[in-house]
Amino acid sequence: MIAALIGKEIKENVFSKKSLWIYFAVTLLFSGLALSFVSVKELSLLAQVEVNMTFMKVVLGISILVTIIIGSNMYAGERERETLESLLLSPLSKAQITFGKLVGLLLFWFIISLLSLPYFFALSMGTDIFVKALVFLYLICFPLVIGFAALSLGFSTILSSTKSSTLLSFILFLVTAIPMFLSTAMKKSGFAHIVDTVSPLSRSMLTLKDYFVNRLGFAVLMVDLLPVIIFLILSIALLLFANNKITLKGGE
Amino acid sequence: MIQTKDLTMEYPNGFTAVNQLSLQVNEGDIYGFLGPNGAGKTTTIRMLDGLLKPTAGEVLIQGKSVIRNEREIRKMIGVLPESHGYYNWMTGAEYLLFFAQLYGVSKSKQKERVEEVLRLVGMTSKANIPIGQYSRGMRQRIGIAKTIIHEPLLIFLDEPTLGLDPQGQRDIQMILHDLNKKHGVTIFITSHLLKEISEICNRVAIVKEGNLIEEDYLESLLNKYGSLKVDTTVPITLEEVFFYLTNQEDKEMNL
Amino acid sequence: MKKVWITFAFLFSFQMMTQTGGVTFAQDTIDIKILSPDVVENYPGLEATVQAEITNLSNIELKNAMAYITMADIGKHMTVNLEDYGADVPILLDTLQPGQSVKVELPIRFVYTSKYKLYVTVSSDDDQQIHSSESIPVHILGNTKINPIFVQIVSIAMPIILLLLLFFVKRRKKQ
Repeated sequence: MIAALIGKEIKENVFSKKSLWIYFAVTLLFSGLALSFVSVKELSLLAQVEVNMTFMKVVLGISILVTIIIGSNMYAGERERETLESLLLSPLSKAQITFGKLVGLLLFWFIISLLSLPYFFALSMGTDIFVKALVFLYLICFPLVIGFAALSLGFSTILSSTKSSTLLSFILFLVTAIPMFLSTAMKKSGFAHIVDTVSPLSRSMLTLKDYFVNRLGFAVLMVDLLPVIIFLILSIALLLFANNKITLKGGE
Repeated sequence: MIQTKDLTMEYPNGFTAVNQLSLQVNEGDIYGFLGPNGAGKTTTIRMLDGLLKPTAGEVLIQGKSVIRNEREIRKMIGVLPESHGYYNWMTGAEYLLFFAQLYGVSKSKQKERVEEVLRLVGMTSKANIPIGQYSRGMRQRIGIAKTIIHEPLLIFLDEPTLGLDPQGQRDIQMILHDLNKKHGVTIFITSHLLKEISEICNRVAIVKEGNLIEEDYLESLLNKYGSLKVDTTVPITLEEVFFYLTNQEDKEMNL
Repeated sequence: MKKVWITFAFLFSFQMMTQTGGVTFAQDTIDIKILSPDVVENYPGLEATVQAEITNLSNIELKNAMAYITMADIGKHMTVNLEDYGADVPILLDTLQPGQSVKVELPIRFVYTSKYKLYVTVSSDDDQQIHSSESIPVHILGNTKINPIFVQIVSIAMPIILLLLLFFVKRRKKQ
């Protein structure tokens, strides 16, 4: 039964015409960046590992951003299209419905990550970076992706409009991305320092550097990822809480 | 089939949408649930199908509590909500197949069942057209087909003919009649179209502001209020009874 | 006339005295020597530690002294943003006693291909002067194994494939 829902989510969000346009736009972005690495003089002087790190940052940022936009639509969209009631009336439990949607959402992210692989392959040629990129993308960074997917789905469940849930997810993503816009000096103290220390996105970038450049061990990477794991737990807790709140009032 | 006792829904703001509603729907009934806008019809249906948890009272379907046996009950019932959306990108057949899978219809029977319900609602020729291209009447037919895809014993229909032209209304009535008579499905229906209710229902309940003000077999109801009519040469209609009962407190009304 | 000559001689000698005094005042109070490396010639991604010896030559203690790397790109004639090189964090030396000598190790990671001059700079709260070591030459050679043609092929092919897929889906739906 749940397979039917996952199948529907895949058709609706992963292989729909809208999704294909999104994939197209994403590849255009990836292509622009990859081409700049071989054509813009400043970027072409970068070490190969730096090139791949920069590309990884963009892949992560874009894929998560698009995923949360799709996730914010999943429940709120069903509510707006008035299809939610029929789903809730099916023999599937609310938790199963949410799980089906989460799987669909993660598959959407997976497709975007797959689209980035040919670029990584080209940019990491002659080095062992491609394998590292695979490990980082699908193992180290996966908790971050699940966390953001769960968060956007949670907002989509609580808020009845797609606009509100998309906006809230987007703002939260931007808040976690604040440290990226700040200088090193600013990140060393005050509020920026706190955000930098706890931001899952910022910590993932630190992990990226420690893994790609500093080649630090598993233990250090785990310490780096601690805020990401906490973020994942909190996001899933929010999703479970939101899941119990799914309801339709009389006459709604 | 359905039994409710003192079913109540009170919202946190103090508004009582349904107040101590006690109903009995028997197997094979086509039960009309009537009331003006805001009477609590949709809230009642949502409590009956288990989507809303009542603040007091209980709903039993086939003697089982709807709240405690949620999954079991859901396989037993079918619901066509009032504002019922569709996945416009799916074809009618895909839509029905999706719900057949969702309701756990066995894989070997899914296709056969989809064809059967499509035939039943007269949509076989339109099965492979995306729902987005359907007319309102066609959508309602597919909605009813979805409601019965898993062969439920009982279906809830909230305003199934709303917005349909007379022919569309007639077609839906015929489908419901067939479902009840040929397939033995018990039907709980709400509608604003009292003529339609009087044509297909055998029992009727009238609610106003969350309170049940009358409930009986249609014939008994018409007999009961027929004597109040001034002109006894013309038989009383359900519409007249409904207006009499729902406006009684506001003003004295002559029948 | 004699008075004029005397006055001129006085002013000249005074000028000379103040100049001599100025030289004395500007004399380096801190000596910085880069101990290693002498020269860097390698590929991007090289991680190095610059070892320097810092000596307080003055007879006063210098509070809150800090040492940091500075680099000038002599290819582009500009200083570099050391944040990119992971070398933007200075080493705090606290108080340097008169005559005290300390060794510091400053990490750096060379990321861009170019020719640079690298030197260590020290500043302290009690000294208005900024002191720098002599520079060492740094030459970061290009080593990227990226094949630009391959990157171009991927970058052009990927959007085209997706566009074709979109076209195919649209056509299939019409049928």
